[in-house]
Amino acid sequence: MVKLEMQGITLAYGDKKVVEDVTFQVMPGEMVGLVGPNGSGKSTIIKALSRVITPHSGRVLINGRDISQIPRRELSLLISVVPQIPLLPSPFTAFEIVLMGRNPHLGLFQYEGPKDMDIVWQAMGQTSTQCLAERRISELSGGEIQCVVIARALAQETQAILLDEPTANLDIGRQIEILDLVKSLCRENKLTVVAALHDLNLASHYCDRLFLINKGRIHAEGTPTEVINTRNIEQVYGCGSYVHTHPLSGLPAVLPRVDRNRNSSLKKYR
Amino acid sequence: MRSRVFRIHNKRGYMRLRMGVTIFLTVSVVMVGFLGACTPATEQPVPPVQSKLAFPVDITDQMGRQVRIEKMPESIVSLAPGNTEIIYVLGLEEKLVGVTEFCDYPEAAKGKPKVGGFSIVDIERVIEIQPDLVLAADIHKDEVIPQLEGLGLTVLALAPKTLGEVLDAIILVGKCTGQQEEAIHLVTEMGNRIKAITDKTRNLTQADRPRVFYIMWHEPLMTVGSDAQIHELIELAGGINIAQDLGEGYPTMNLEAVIIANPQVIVAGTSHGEGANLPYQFVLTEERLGDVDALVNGHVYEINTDFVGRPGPRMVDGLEQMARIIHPEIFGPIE
Amino acid sequence: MPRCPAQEIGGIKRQVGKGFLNMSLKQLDASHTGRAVPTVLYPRWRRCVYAIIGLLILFSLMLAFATTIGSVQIPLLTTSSILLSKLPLVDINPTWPSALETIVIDIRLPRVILAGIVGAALAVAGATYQGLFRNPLADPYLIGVAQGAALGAVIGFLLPVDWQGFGFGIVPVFAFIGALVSVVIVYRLARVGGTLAVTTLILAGVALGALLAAIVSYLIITSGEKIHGIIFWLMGSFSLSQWSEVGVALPAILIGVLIIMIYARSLNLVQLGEEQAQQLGMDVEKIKVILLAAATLITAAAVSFVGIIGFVGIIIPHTVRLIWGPDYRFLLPLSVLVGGIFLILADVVARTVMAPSEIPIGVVTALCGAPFFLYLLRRRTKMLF
Repeated sequence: MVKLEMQGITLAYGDKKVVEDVTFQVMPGEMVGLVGPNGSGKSTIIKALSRVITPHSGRVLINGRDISQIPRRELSLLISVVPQIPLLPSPFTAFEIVLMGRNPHLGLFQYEGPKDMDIVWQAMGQTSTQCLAERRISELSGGEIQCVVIARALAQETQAILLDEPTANLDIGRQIEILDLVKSLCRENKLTVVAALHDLNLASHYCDRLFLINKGRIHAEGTPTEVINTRNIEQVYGCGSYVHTHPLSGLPAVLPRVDRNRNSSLKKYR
Repeated sequence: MRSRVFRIHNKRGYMRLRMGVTIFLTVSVVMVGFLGACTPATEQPVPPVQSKLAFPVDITDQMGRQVRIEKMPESIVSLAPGNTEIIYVLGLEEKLVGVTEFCDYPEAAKGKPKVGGFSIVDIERVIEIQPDLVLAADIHKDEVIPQLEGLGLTVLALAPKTLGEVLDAIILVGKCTGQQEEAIHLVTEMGNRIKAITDKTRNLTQADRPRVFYIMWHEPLMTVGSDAQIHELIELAGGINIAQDLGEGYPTMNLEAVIIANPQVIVAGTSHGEGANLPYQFVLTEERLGDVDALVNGHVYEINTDFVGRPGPRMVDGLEQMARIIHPEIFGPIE
Repeated sequence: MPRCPAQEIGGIKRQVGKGFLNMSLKQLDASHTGRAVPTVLYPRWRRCVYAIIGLLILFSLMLAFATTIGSVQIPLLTTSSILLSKLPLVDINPTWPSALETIVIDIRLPRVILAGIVGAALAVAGATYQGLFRNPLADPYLIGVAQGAALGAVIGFLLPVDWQGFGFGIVPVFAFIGALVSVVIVYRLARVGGTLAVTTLILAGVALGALLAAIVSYLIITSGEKIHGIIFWLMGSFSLSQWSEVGVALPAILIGVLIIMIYARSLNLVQLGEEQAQQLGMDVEKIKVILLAAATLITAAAVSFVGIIGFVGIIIPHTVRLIWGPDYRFLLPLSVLVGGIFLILADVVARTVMAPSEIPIGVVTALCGAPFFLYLLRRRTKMLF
């Protein structure tokens, strides 16, 4: 069980500050969503959480320990990452890619054993990628690759999973399937999940808490109902969106706005 | 097979030498007789010898070119070290006004103005000097000679490939420079020295001829092929070049092949500068050659490449050295 | 969404329990039904393992075969007897002249062994560089090893020092030092902060390499009559290989190759990019330096003794990849074997076709290897990189 914390994190590329003074906590069993417009710093926060970039100031703590002091191998046993645009070498098969997820569990001289194979196969079963096992990466579509990478993160068997736009290339059916899986794992195994999502509806539906990031700062935090309201959305995303309540779940949902002026301006294109 | 090749080549060499030496001996005798008797000779196969030859002289040089020398040359440029040595040996050093950087014998030659290196000639400098005669070599055939001729200079190409042709070259230069008497005298003397050796080696049987390995360089193992001057010297000195079947030029040999050929005498060419005797050092220190006859019996020698590789008058010295190396029992040991 | 049919999954579940390492080869053969984990991965692994065993045998045969061939004709029986007599506990009375024994044991055998280990070293180094830089055009000479070694060798040739310390002269020593120094310079240039950017490494290597090559050219022109030896060395050759050289090259290359093979799985991970590799627990910076050092060591050791032999380092790894796949855990040992066999063969050709003269080995490797590689490329482009 892992508690992730960000304390006063400022992240910069050179002199340009991308994320400023962000502080939050994520508890085990919680699925937290980072939402915000493009370029708001969501991916950068994910990178900082996995120690890919060093913070300009501030600390990231995992169970109270500073992650910059934890050796990489140990860190990868605690946190796994699903990257946004995974570069995968094309001649490897999907199975081999997912098998790489077992690397943190293997010593220098160890080979993958039957247990590792089972875990990998199971992870691929959960993400419905078993059929792709023998196919090479160069033959797979973007969505299939996305699922393979998620399977890899599952095979890594970590207590915390960071997802950077995991559903970007997927069709709606797969989006729901993947997020259902992640959510159920989160609940059952008490995982700590942080997901950067661009789709507000999905975020609202699946995340226990949301952080609305705008221009590198936390604009709003709280439950989906608290965060996704008309005023926040307007301030962050601009006009053009309409927040209403999902008829079945009662959670907020965002749709394009329809009003008379807009309608009439579109009339001439009909 | 090997002996057949050897005999044919040797015969040709021998015959040329014998013919050359005989002709000039005849000429000298006739000359003495002519001067002494003061009666005009009825017919001379060779032109009459005088201290001042009638110019112009038409000559075919050693590359088959027809050259016309209009008058006695007062300034001569040499484009090869061997040619420079010929000039000095004919007593023409005062007329020598240009040499190459590698013309180092005799010592005095080093003080002459330089007009070029090995195959590269500073054309401008040659033109500046405006020599009456340029003595070139066969490496200058493609570019330098046409250029110089095109600029109006008289060029004589000396390209001796055998010892006999070296003697011919000396005669040629003598003819072109009014030093024919000197030349003939020199060539006769050289011919005698050569004959002193070949008389004793001509009739050696195969069994009496030691297998000789001449090493030019060690990385790769380079030796001399059947058309090289050094090869001819080895043969004339009474040895067998183990690389004679490997073709012409300077073939490389495998270490294996050298071991199997088991030479009885190894001669290493030593030149100038640092690392000059590396081939010699190599032969002495290479363990795998340890069982070869030459090393077992201590018959490993070095020889200055100026004497065997430079086509000039000192080649006869080279032959004598080679003979003493290969047949110390006949000619005395080399010191 | 493509789901796996239920009955297939049922068949799979039965197979999943068995692990690769627990299965004997016979069992592996039997488990080919269904789209199970065994059929996914094990056939490929199985094929690779068989290939390694087969090539190992072929390598040994090659070593023996190559000592029977040379410019001097020695009957096969004699060669075999000579070789066997050198084995411990074997007692054969020598009935052959000592010259033949010198040829087989002191000339051919060290040469063939050196060809084998140099071929292995160059192939493994090439595969490592290709993996580290994620670039299919990488070869062992990419970051200046060749030019550094060449400069060292030329300096060694030109120095008026005549020292035969280890049984070979100063040229290999200087070449080795030159290779290492140039890579250290390139490394220092490319290391910014705590990270080693691979693109900077390549660019710095190319730039330094060009500078060193220019210096080498100038020195060659002014080298006088040593020019022959220098050019001969630069073209690469196994002639005059001796046991003392094998004695130094073999341990160095063996150690380097073993180190690289230990990190084979890391080389697989590096293909994902440094970010993902880090997230999967790999200490990228440390392993990059280790692999770079090991690959440079074996390249420098190879080049110092035999000169610059091109083509092997870039083509052999690609050939192996095309046939057996990109997994470095098999790619490395297979490269060792294929590289060694290839160079032994090339050396045999180099010294027999124009006997007793020799063709420079770089010419042979290019002439023999290029057409085969092009043929392979046409058949199987999708496995390339």
